Amino acid sequence: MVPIDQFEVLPGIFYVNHPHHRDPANPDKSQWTIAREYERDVFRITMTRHWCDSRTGWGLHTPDGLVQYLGRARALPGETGARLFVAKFVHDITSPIWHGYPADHERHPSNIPPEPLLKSWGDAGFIRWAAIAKVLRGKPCSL
Amino acid sequence: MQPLKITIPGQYWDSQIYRGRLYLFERDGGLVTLDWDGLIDDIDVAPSEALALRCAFANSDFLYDPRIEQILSDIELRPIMRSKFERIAQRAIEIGRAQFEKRILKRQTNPFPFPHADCMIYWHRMYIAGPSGIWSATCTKKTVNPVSSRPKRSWDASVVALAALYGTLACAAGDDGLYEFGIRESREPERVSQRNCIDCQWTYQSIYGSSHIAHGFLAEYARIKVDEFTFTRSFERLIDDAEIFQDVGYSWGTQDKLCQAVQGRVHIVKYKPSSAEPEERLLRLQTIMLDTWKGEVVSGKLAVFGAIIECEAAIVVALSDETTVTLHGEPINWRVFPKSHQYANHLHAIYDDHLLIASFNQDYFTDQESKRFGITHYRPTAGWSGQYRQPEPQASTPDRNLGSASPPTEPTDITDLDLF
Repeated sequence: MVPIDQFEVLPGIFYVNHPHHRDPANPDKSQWTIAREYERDVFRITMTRHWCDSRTGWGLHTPDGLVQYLGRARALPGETGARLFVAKFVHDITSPIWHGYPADHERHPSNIPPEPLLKSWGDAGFIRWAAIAKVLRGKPCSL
Repeated sequence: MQPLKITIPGQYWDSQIYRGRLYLFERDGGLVTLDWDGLIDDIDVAPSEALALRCAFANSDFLYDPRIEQILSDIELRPIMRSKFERIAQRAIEIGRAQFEKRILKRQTNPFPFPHADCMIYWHRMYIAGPSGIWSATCTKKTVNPVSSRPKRSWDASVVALAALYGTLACAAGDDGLYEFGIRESREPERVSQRNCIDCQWTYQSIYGSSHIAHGFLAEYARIKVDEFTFTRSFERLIDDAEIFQDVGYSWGTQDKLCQAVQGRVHIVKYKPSSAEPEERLLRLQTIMLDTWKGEVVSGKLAVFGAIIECEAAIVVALSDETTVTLHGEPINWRVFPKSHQYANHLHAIYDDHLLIASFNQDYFTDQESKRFGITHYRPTAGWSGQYRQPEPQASTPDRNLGSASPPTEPTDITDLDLF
């Protein structure tokens, strides 16, 4: 079993880069396309901006202040999954260690951020309102 | 025939229209209700155009009335009526701030979680779907606020699309599947299908489920006659879109028309569930070609006036007179009202800084039985009551064989009129 490194991204808040979401051979999991350290940065920003509750967080990859794609949807071997730009972070109730993955809104409504957060992203100009509408409705969407 | 257009400047999220009222969800969290009939009356047109304006925006039912249809069938009167619509269509009607403010019935705080995924009004009740579930509130014209400020949560599951008919709410819930529940019942929604579903629309008593990552499907129900005035619905089987279209792609359906988008083409199939012969139940009608600049198909709907195809960079409306209209640009939201009596000819499209209400009126002059684009004009069946469904069976029922669509026709080029 490959050891998984834990990172203390903020005082008392730990994060792991989960290997299932960095294994292109795994057809059941969405895959990060940004480097591990950027993934942790997305999580850190999620925590500092309070885009989270006690169990679930939502993040955006915003190098230079602009939202960019951070992953791809799960896909069958030989196919390419849709590009994704929202990250979802979770932690098990029995563990304080968080992990995350690119959220595929087309697949499951649980991968759609809550309404107040989407509104704040729209108001702040992180995501176009037309893109927010598509995320909410499970439609294919580009930045 | 070009649509008539009304533009309302503002930053909106969604719109609904119901019984003389226009509901506008503002992106800052407000909900504005307008006296729509009054707003239409305020528009300055020549007296000879007033009837056409009213039919276009406030009473689509007028010209579908069988008695009026007879009058319109007169070959001398028909071009006169058409020319009235065409004259108004030449004008760009924009609702000014003063005009808008004058017709505001109320500006209230949006009582629902915002932004929502979908919204509809049914039996004087507004339903909202989104990540936090399905919420509803009355809009009966009897409450202080046009939409009651005390919504109730009907279901706590995350839902991306809604459609109501026969006292039943169909709910698309992504990988959780397609659900339905009787809106007057207190029991939990029941799962119709476990397949991924991001949109749902009624096809007679059946429901069409759409998906980008799985096959679309028709959840087919039979109408079971209870007595002279009452029917119930009984689940029969799921029909895969590959069986309907003999192809694979995003698909949707309403009433008697089913559509599927495949690599720049849209197939249209006529659905006649009442046909005794299985091979007559699905009939391939037409294939529309889409320009590549419009991008991939994102979603679709059907209305009496045509098939509406949302592409990445435009909304394409394939009209029932076999021309098309293209609305350029990516909308924030758009909707049609195929079950509405008064607004069946409306298309509402919201852009960054305005709401466009387009009214399509060529369908008044189109033969309903033979038309290929758009659903046949809907006349509600009197006496419908009750709703009943059975759980999805484990295996398809073999006794109701639905024939495959007829061989495809060649793709057809149709006139493309740009709206902007």
